[in-house]
Amino acid sequence: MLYAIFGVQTFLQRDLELRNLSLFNRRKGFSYLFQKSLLFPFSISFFLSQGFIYLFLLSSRKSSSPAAIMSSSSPKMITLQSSDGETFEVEEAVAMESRTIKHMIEDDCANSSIPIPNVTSNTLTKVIEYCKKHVEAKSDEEGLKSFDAEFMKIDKDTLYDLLMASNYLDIKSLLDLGCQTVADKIKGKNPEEIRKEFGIKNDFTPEEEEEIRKESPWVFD
Amino acid sequence: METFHHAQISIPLPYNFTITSSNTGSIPGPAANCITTPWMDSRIWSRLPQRLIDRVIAFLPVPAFFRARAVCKRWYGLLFSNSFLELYLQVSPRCHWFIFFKQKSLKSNIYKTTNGGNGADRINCEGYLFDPYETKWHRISCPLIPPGFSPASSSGGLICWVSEEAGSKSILLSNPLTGSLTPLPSTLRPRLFPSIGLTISNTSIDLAVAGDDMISPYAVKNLSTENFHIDGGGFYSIWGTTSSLPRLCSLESGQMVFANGRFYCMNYSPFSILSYDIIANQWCKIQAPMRRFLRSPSLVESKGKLILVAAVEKSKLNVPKSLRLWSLQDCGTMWVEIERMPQQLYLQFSDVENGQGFNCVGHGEFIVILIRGSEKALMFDFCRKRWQWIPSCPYIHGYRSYGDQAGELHGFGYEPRLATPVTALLDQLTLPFQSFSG
Repeated sequence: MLYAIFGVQTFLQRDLELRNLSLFNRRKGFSYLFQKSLLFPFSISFFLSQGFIYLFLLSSRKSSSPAAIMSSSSPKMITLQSSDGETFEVEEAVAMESRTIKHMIEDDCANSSIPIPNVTSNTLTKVIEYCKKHVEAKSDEEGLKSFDAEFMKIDKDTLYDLLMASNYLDIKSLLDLGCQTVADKIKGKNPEEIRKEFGIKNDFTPEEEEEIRKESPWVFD
Repeated sequence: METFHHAQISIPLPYNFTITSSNTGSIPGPAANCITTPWMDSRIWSRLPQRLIDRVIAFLPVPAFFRARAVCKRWYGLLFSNSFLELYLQVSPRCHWFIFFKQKSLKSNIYKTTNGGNGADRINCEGYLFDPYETKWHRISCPLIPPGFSPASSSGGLICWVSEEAGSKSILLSNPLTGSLTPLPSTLRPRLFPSIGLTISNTSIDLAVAGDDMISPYAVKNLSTENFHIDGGGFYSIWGTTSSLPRLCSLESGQMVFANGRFYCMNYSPFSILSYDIIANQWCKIQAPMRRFLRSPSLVESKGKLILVAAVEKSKLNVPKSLRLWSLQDCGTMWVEIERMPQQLYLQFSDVENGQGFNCVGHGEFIVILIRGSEKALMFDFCRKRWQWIPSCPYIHGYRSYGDQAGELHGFGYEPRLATPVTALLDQLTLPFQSFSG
């Protein structure tokens, strides 16, 4: 359509030139110049109107594009549904912290609400709180560190649920934070205490255990 | 951290005793059954899938990891499992430890008395790990190192051992945690006690051997440097890259610090810093700040920048005596003072030090200052801007050596790693191949 406009424009331009020529041929001198000066503003206004039409079409094209999300409107919201039926509305950016959800959105399976069958609403609330904070305060390292420290002051049930949820939802930072917290809890324990903690059976004979202690005596100092 | 509530003691006391768990290796007896704490709940943690348990183990600090190996056979075997080591190398946080060795006096090396022979073995066998996060010392033995080698540098979890004999130098890389030992080809030129610089990344090994060329069996001169390079991209330089040192330089510290693509070394009388650009294969000299007023300067690296630590004292100066840190700016010639020891602390420090001098080592955000002739040491934490005295190494008490350097420690920054896959590059050196040089 733009080409059509330009085509018309050049046609009209040529028409004008031809008229100019004919004017020139017929009337020389002052009257000719007067004619030309009149035609000149006409052509300018014509060109300007072309420009406005062009810009108008361009802007209308832009606004009809589905990819352009205007900043004035609200960000896209994703609905998550926990295992006990509760729904949570979160911003897309927050939901994308979970790689599992991110892949679902990219594969276009996330039009209605996304069911998360393994995660209860309590745990999902905590996970969303974590992701929100990490999206909002992305550049503030110190603030995130203190937030993480406070966030991990939870009881063992919640920590276990968070670990399993972040593993299922594939949120690496939360998973690593949880694993680091558990590691900090068990790093001071001796092997027997660790066995009790994880319900592991001791399959070493006493001699074998003694051998292991001799291998790295420096850690048992 | 955790508290245990043992079975209640039936004494009418106004409060309950709480006993904290200790790091003893002893297995608690049947009394362990009645321990109930908020964390000891195998109902929950036994349901954790194996992959997540492995991930938790990967986050354990190294001493805790070796203790955890005694839990069961599966956990014992994790150290040799490729999948676990891959996970470990991905997630394990970097920790900036230090390793120290007893200083062997030069006399015992040169004269090689029989007394020195016995003691030398003992000295080589032990390294003292320092954990700056818990300010704890550990003693680790290195029994596989052959006699006649001394530790020179460390990087990427590996320690570089250099042969002490005059002549062409043999070099070994060892991981003290797993006991692995990988030899490097010997250097080409004969040297006496060269300075060694080592830097290891995930895919490359770079080693520079500088100075102390033996121009005759009884004379040494600081003439040249040899460079060893190997990387995963297929480039090798087996001591083929050489470069000449600047004239009249004296590298006495024996150690080179790596920062930002260059090796830096302290040059004495007058103080200046020699810098070796690995890629350009060139040495240059950098002037030290306040060079006429420095005492016991040392170089350390922190966050990719070179830092000079030295005491400043000269009676003619108007400034008070102090211990200062300067950081080398990106231009490569300007120094900016970034930190100064608080005056009160410096008074305590100079009381202990008494003019004998000090050595300084740095790793990550920590700088450890060892005072010569004393067992005391100071530590500075860059992140928290905190100076603190650290407990002296408990394993060298009462050790009196023959010679002047009684029980003195020298060391470098060390990062404990369970696996160092980059040594696989060195295994390829036994095959014939095309080598780049220059």
